[in-house]
Amino acid sequence: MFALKINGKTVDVDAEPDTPLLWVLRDTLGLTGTKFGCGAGLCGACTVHVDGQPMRSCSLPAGSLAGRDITTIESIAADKNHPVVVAWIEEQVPQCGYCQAGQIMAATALLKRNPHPSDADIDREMTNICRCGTYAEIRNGIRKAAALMAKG
Amino acid sequence: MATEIDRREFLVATAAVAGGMALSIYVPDTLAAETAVAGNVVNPRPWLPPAEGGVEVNPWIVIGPDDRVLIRVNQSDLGQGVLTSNPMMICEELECDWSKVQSVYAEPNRHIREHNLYDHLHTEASSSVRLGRALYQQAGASARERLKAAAAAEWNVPASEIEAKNSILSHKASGRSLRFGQVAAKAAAIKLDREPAIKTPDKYTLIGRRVRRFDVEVKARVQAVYGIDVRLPGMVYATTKQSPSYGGALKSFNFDAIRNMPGVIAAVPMEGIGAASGIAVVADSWWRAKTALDKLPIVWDAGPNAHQGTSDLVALYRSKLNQKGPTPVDEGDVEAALKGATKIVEAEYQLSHQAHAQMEPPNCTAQVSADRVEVWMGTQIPDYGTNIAAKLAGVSPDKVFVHNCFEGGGFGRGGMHGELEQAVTVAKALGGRPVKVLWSREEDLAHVNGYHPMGVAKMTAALGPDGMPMAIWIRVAGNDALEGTPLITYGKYKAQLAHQLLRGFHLFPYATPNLRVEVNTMKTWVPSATWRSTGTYANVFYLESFIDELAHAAGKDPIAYRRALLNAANPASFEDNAKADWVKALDVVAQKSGWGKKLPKGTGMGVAIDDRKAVDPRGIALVALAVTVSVSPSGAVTIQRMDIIHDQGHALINPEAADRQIRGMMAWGLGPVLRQEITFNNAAVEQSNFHQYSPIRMNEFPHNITLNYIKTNRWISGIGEEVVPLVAPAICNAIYAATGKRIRSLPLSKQDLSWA
Repeated sequence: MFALKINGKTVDVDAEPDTPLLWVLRDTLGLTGTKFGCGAGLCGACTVHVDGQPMRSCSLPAGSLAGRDITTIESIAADKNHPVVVAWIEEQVPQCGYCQAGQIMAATALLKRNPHPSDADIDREMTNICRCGTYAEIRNGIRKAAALMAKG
Repeated sequence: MATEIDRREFLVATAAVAGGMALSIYVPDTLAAETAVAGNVVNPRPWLPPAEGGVEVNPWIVIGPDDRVLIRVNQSDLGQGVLTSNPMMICEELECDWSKVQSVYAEPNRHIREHNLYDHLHTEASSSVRLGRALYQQAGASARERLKAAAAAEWNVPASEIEAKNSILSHKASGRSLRFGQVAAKAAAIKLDREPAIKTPDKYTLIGRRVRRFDVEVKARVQAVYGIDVRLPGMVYATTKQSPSYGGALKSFNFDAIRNMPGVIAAVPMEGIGAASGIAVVADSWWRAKTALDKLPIVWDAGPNAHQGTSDLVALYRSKLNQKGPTPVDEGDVEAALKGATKIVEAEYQLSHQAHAQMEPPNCTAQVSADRVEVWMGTQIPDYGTNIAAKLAGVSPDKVFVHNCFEGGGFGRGGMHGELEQAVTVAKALGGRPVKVLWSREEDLAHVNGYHPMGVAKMTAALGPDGMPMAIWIRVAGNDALEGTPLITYGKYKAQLAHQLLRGFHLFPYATPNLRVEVNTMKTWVPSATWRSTGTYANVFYLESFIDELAHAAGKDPIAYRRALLNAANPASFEDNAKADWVKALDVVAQKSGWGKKLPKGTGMGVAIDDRKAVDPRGIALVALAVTVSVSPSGAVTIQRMDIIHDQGHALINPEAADRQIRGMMAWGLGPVLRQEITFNNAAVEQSNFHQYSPIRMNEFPHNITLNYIKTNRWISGIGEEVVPLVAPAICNAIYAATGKRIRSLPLSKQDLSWA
């Protein structure tokens, strides 16, 4: 048993400490918005924020995260007016949609660090895989979200 | 040409009583996001309606008292937008207020119980419009006329005087009006004497409009329930390991070694289930199941292919290029033409095995009791899944309820059901307890249930003094794309072959007085499957690469050369009278791409064109692609620009969805060109995860993609995969233009492209 701070709440987790955060989120806590894609930190479908930094939860032992601030897609998506989510809808980004939780988490972290990313910044920072190939729409979504954020 | 439906069938179908058993579905707190009931939405659980209630006017259409229209969709939304575009085809005729339209998946169980009520439930080969349009338009027109008839009876006026528009029925002469919702119940009881005619494309007002997809909001707000997200009370988790080598089998395992590990419940051996023999470990969480499975001592019988690998497969395939094969096409005298040739051009091409690697790893949740089987998964063929589950559970199909979830990518893989077979098998062993079977990515790549098969071709041409072909001789060897599909008999020599291997060569678009096509259909130990674009992927690569080689051998511009060959071709060698459209597509792609402009050293342009015709004719869609690449002196390839021309025929249903799908396909096509391939050693797949089978990412996705449609006088065969096969030949042709290096086998990561 160990405690984690997830989306602002402290929760007790009954799991082996080496269980990856992804599986604690999905199976123990029922937070299924964070997706499993590869289990090896390669595809980004499981991206969460740890102390504001985008991290791949499939490769983070949950027991090592005591006291860290963990934010999942559920917290982002709960904000009806979240600029990235709104931009994703405006730009009709998702196709199959499976990777998009991770894409939104990666984009949110990028925009926090860099509110006006260039095309080159987006290409460098957005490393998640999308098999439907929504990359052009993700670029548009990030630009739109940046504009929404600039307007406040 | 879409088949006209039998209008009497509609009378029968609409008379059927509303069915579908009410299911109690567990909604976990964390997923209990409010379900929107207004506006263009779908339920986050797409097998359930966004709201209850309403009157079933016919099996496709439910109208609520508030005029809300629920459309039941008989296909799976893999991101191509059928939860929106299929309703558009119905509502085009229904004349309802589009803002009140919602959609839900048609129930597979009811479909089966009511004798294929929805005609078809499968989603494959870009078929939604091809198979559905006439059917959907008829369903909408029929409902509209019955609503009119109900209002006519209410007012005692002829139905012909009533206008239906925007969910309102109005009678101009008397100034009366009723809303759809007010007469839906009466309309549901009405039988029409005859079914109305459906609109011709010139009358469309909704089809062809850019419409927002209903599923986008639940996906962007992360409420959408994919198969992997299903949670049930008492549910346990399983993960599986199948024989690492194809053809191998489970020999023994020692459950005692993991019995006391945390959460472990059971190990279930599976013989002849799914693509291979294997074992599932069940635990109270997936991670515990996975951890235990990794520790489980398993002895495998490596099987008869244990020493086989990709090099053996390549040798086997290539050996077929030196043997005469079944000959479906043999026109003129190819040998004589070769003897008289001014120049002979010969080339051998080769493509690798590919996996689907859809983002959602294969999974299926099942619960099996003595007289009821429930299955939750995202599938492209829920009726097929129903029948498999019934067979394995030993119940009749009407006792099986497949809940089609959102699916994290289909690409042809979503029609495979190994994980369903496993889940039902394990659930059966658990005696009523629900279980979610989920594969690791490693298991997915090792046992995708069927790979896109490799292929080889030998192409030979005799060119005359003007550089134009006097003969073309094609010899291909490949697998049937879908194991078990019967071979066809084709041509006057009654050649036996897999139709996908002949696809595109059976009607040869480029003029040549002598033509021979030989097709060797192989069967190897590697299971094969459909894969976005299937057989055309290989044949377009072979042909469009080779025509480019011929153009250069003739010293002619590749577009001008193709144009000349098309113009000289017999119109009978085009399906649907498409000869002029081929030329037009080339002209438009040349214009839009700036073909012929001066380019810097190391930069080049390449083109490819195809129309997706099938051996069993089912319509075509003309596509052309020009690619501009630059190759650095050390051989690094950058895609500068892609210019796509796509047939829109009479109309695209929702161009908004079409645009995104077509653009996205550039990523699907690019991966196998740059580096993706599946290889085998000891009959086992060598790529374990995305570091070895690595799809392209943002930094490789071209910034400059243009997409232009050409209007033609046909209903196109589809858009879901048509442009994929053009990517490889267009890029390789561009690389040749840039470097003088001819690429005849992929991926490029195995080629030296340096030129300085």
